[in-house]
Amino acid sequence: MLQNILSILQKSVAAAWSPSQLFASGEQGVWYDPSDLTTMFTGLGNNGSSPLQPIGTVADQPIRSILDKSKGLLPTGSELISNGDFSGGTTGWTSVVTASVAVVSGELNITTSSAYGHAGQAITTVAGLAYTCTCTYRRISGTGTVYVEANTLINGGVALGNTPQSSSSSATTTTFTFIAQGTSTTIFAIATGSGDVIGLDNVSVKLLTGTPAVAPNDAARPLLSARVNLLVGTATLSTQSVTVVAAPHTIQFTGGGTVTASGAYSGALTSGQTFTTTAGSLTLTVSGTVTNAQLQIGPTATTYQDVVTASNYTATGFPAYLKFDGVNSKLATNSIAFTTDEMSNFVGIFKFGSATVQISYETSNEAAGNNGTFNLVADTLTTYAVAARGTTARVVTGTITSVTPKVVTTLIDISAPSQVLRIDTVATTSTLSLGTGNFGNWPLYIGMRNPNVFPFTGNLYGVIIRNASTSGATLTSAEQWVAAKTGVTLP
Amino acid sequence: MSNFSARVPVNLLQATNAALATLGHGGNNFTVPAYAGPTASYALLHAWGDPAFEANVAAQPGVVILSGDDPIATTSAVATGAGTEWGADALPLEGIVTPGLYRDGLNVLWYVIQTYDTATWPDPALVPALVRRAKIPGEALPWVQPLDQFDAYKLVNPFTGEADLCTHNGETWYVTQADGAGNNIWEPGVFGWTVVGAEPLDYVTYNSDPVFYESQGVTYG
Repeated sequence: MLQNILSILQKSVAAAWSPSQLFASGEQGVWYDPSDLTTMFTGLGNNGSSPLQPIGTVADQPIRSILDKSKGLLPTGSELISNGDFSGGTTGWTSVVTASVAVVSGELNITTSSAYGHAGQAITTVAGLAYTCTCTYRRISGTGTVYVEANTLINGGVALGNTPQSSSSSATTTTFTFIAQGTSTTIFAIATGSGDVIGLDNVSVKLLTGTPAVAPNDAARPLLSARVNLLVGTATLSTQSVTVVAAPHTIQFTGGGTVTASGAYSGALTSGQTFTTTAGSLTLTVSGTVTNAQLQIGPTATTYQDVVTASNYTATGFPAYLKFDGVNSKLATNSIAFTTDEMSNFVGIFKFGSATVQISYETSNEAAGNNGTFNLVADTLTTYAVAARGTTARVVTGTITSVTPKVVTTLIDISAPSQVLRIDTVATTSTLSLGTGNFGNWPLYIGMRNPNVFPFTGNLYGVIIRNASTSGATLTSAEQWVAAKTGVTLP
Repeated sequence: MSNFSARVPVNLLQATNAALATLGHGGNNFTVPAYAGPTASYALLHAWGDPAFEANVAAQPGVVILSGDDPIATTSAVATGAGTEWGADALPLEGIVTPGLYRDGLNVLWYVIQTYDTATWPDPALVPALVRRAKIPGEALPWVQPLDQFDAYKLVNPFTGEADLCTHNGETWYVTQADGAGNNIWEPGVFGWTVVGAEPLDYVTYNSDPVFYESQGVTYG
């Protein structure tokens, strides 16, 4: 009884703990949290007319960019917009040929002569970093809508982020985020209607703290999901075929009917049965009434997830993750200026690809080939490995016995030397020399080795990388936090 | 849900990637090399969750799309449709191997040209008539003497749109000069290669031999 109470108390403490504490003293690093929908975009910023939808209410959505929460996502640095309150008239603001501008009562009025006339200002940005724009806008007259956008160009560029569209004459104040793609970004207000007059005021743009991870293109986007159950129409199951990977799977169901498998596995299935499929199509033939059915990867039947369709399923209570396709899914960051020789990584991860080498994340183009680097490799279905290098590369490998989500922690100290790989808190340790020096100023690649080799097949529930040592209660709290986000119960 | 793989011939790759970038999908969407020989002849991609992107990919000239639930299997299928293989299809370079894509113990890709027994010829680097390294576009691997135009290094690689890279004598090099067909078969440091980060040397050829301009202090280099 006492043990249970202590366990509950530990989990309560862990629940109150936040990874932000890992960075409270200015530690360098990143924290990507797929459970926080406010930090992810299908494109390169907020899409005001098509924002990210709650998981399970639409088809799973591809993620182009995810913000780094390690520094609190705070506006920082100097104001990047000049004359954002238009106290200087129209100075600094440019209209394209389909619009003219004037300042009326301290507000920029943009009068369009054709649809999508607009006016804006180019600001200096750094490609790959996130910015926040706050602005007030309205439609003064006309029939169309108005919105404010960050774009690579004043005309004909790529939209990065924008506000919701408004047709109201009452002013709307909104904040949106975008990831810059070059040294210049344009902020503009745009009217969809020809002859419309729109108003813009109090425009501000600032850099956001942190280092976003961004897919280089739309094909490279991982998928945001919380699906555990591979079946559809699970409340009352009907015969169906699903695509499976070569791995153990477990089925559970209620009701008096029977389920018989064919294709990637053959045989009658009983509820709670674990069976290993080949890669391919698995057909489940249902006879009689089969209810609350769930097929999942792994050797354990977990909480039943109701799935009506692929775009309508229960996501509440199920961990959110980014799914990497094992082909070309990849996120990349700008270089991160690591400065010390100690590194702590905490990752919620579920691999189910059988390729011999899969890079789940890595700094530089090859951790073993560059000084001051590290990675996490998912080798086959049975091991994880962490490579690290001061000036000498070392690999520490840990074995897993079940294909299930894991909490993988790596603790590296170049000068000690020490290299620890913890899988669900079970540690494998090396004290072999890693050479000398600190972790260096390298980009972080998630999902494969840069440029495009060793793709990862599996899910990431969160990635925390901290350029400092972590031990004791802080280590326990960090692992418990990741475990909760991953649906893992640690020993 | 939109879930598809696609292929495009390498000669259309740059134009296809540029068109998709113009449509706001980012650069270099097709990145996965597919081989019917030592050099990639098709580029592949897989994507999911975006019908608008799928429609724009499908609209590009020369692109073939295949839908499926399993990204890896669908990508293999779209590669096979053009008589090619990609990295996930590569079998271990062991035993008697027939023409196709293989992976050695260090995960280096090789393309077998003629059937042979790896027990007889365990080092693939020594039997280029039988097997050659499958080049991964954009990757800087140790320089190997090219035998012909099929494995020559390219001034402009049709896959990446950039010069080929290699490592040699402790440096990373990129091609800066080539023959009229854009091929470089010379050793780095001899002709047509420049260390990454350095200014290209003004090599010229004389009687088919590479030389330096005299102004650079070296002649008949």
